Amino acid sequence: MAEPILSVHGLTRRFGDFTAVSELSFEIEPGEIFGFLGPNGAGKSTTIRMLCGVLTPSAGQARALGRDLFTEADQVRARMGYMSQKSSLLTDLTVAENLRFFGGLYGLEGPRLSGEVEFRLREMQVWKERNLMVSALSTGERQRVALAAATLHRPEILFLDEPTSGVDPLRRRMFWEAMDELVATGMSILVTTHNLAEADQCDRLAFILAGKLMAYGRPRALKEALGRQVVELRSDQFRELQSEARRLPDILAAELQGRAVRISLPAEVDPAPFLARLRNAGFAFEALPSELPSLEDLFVDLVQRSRAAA
Amino acid sequence: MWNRIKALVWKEFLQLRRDRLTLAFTLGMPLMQLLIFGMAINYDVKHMPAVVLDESNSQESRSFVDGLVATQYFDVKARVSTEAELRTTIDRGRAQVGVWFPPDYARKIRSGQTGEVMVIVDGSSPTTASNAMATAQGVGQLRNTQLLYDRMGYGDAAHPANPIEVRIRPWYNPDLRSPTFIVPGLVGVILSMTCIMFAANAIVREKERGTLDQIMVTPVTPMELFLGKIIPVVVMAYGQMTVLFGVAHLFFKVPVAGSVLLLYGMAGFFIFPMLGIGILISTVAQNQAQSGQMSMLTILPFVFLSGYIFPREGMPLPFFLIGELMPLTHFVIIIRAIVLRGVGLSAFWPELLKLLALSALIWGLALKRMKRAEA
Repeated sequence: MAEPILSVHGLTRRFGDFTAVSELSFEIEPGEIFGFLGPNGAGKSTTIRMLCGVLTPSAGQARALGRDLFTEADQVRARMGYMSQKSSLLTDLTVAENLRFFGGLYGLEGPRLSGEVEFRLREMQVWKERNLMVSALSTGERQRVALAAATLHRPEILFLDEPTSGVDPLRRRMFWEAMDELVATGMSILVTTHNLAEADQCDRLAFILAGKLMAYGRPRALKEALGRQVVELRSDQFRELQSEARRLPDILAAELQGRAVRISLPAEVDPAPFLARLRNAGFAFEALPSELPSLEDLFVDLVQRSRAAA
Repeated sequence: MWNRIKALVWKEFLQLRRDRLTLAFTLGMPLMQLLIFGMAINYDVKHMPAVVLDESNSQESRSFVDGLVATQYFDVKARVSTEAELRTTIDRGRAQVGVWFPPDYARKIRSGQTGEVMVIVDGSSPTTASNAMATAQGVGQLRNTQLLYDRMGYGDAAHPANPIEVRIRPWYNPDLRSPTFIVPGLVGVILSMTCIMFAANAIVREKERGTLDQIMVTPVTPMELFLGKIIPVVVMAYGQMTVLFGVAHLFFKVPVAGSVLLLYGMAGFFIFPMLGIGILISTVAQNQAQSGQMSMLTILPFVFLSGYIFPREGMPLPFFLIGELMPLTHFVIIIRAIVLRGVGLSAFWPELLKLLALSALIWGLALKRMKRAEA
């Protein structure tokens, strides 16, 4: 296995008595989209800001591209890209001027700069807008311009902090397609989100809650690690069905979803006898094939467990 | 390093070009001040409207009035015949000076007594009043001399040869013109405003909009970022200074007596501490509105206590000492020395030393605050 492109050990940041990020450790492989998932205030942005060198960590180490991220930041900065949560573009400059400015900060000049600017703007489908003021762009367009600005210097690692917040689903999909294209060129991306559908598209995920790493791995592996299966039962008597299901042995959870009941069972249990008992109790329903739990199930489970621990 | 600084400077100028209001402010304000001080404010008050109440109606009284008019300081706007009329003319502001000859004015002079003439001055404007008083005194003295000569029978009474004549030669500003006096100080005030306000704003703006992070993640070093912010301000400051001197020279005939090179060099020693104050403000202010207010608050006492308008010689000691702590005070002395007196470093090196000491103090504070803001 290749050396991780970024490895973080025991990363901690305290603000006074408050610990925003607590002993975080994880690794990012070359060419993957690494998702950083957690509710607002979990410490996602704080972590990214430390890795980008905007914020000084209280403790911990990080290596990126074979260098120490905190002591040799100058050598790696030019090979990293960052797009912050708030739009970081200069709103009183045009799209092209913004790109030329940030390109200049990465040392690009002359025809090479012009070439990269055009290439990135076309790639992000904002070439038509190049002479518009950033203040005149929609949120979706701004995000794509910001991505173009962050990738102009062809970074090897790209940090994206909530890049799609406030963007409609269609533009969100466009944005993720653009990310897929970047990864195809060998770039590694660390992206934070609290959108579970987005998280499912990541190669690997790290769940963080209150600054602590709760789960870490491929989405499928994380779901499997929960050790459950989910069966969805569609019925007109969904409320009664839910109460009845909760009385049965082996049941982990029975939740309503629209007019259906989602039943969680341990992975090793065969659902057939379970469903037979419900039918025998006089319920009519349609059962969908059993499937892995969703990331939402995982998320709820993690939150409940952390509450129970506290 | 230089291509990154170039990108930063280019961006600052682009933003400035887009910000019409600031641009108008940068170019318009100094010119407006120059025009106001150059044209409207004139300490040297000539052609004051005067009203005459001549109850003597004699050759003596008429020749006194002629003497006043001949100085060009007085224009007789009205002749009245009663004291009440004299009063209303001044009350209504139609005249600032009243000259009143009592009926016995000529008789007393002819009989060897003292003829009295009363000069009433509208004292609500002290500069105007003191000018009027001095001029009237002078004309009175001249008359006295002539009359004394006449009585003593020496020579030609109309063209008496004075035993003593005081000849006044105002050096450096021979015509005692206000623009000549004001322009050098004005340049100092404008440089203060530009440097403090723009340096503070350039940094606070980035803080306010949250764009600073995006710049910090690039390979730009803090030093490069700093230079990228400072260079445009320095360029602007020198630009304003050049425009001001150009306009003052072309339209108000203000000469630069000394070395222009020395002038620009000394301006650098002044711009430097002003930038420090701007940076100091940027470490405290959270947004551009705050930094604007703080800048104005800082500049205001500079204008009043630096000796730019009001002479420091007359100030109570505490204010004099506060003025001593202001870089503008020393720069006003230096720039006046170069522009008006045409002298060199040997004439004002103590002021330069004080300027350097204040610079060190201000930058020491600014760097300390910046370090704390980073942590």
